[in-house]
Amino acid sequence: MKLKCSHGFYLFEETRVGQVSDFMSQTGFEIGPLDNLFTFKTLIDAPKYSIKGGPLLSSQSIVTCEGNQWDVFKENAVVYDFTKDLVVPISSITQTMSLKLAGNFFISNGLILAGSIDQNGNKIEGYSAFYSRDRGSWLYSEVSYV
Amino acid sequence: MSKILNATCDSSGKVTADGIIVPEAEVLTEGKQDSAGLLFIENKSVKYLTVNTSDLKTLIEKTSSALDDVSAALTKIGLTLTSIGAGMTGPTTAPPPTLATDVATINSKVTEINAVKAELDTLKGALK
Repeated sequence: MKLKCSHGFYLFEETRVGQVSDFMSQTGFEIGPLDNLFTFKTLIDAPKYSIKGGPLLSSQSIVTCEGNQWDVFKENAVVYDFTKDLVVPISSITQTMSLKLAGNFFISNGLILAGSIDQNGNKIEGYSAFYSRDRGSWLYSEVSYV
Repeated sequence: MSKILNATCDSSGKVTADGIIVPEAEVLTEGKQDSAGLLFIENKSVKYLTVNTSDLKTLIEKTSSALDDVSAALTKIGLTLTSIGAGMTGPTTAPPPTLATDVATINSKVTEINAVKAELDTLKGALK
């Protein structure tokens, strides 16, 4: 299964039927369809616009803008915190994690939460990943920082 | 790709959409009185456009009313001149007996036209 995290908005793509179902049963996360992909259930209703001062799921918009959900997240400086099932300011994510090079990819301990800070002190805002059944872990690439 | 929302704008130019005041909205119309319209958001550009068909309807109604008055006044002038002409066949120089009433009617229509003109001037300064 592939995963694209853009500005704290997560999109899953099955490369084999049943992967989302397996992922949900293994992790307890609720995943639902979004267009032709999948995302966390809470993010299914994420708006494609925001009005400054109005709600943005569980957060509050700080700018008036329009775009894809991840663009709206970026402009409002928020990410989805899947550990709390909340949309929160990226600045509120302070947890640290380590990325280790493994061939052409990076590996980490579990699913990376956007906003986390890597071992070099850089704040992660997005990445691409796919789940390796052989390794039993996510392999990361295209990691981008704030 | 843009987002279009129902919105309102008050006479001070304050735009509201989704129950939230949108101070950064640029009002593209006159915005001189309360109105309902549409808010367009594209990227970070935010513009408000009123649905001003009521302005147009009022303008057309008042213009049509003014033209009715003009038509009535001109008709009355024509009838009056015809009546005067009909009386100019003999030695008398007396005006037709209806002249005073006819002139009063014409003056009344001029007053009504001026009133509509004033209303149009007011509308011009209060377009939505």
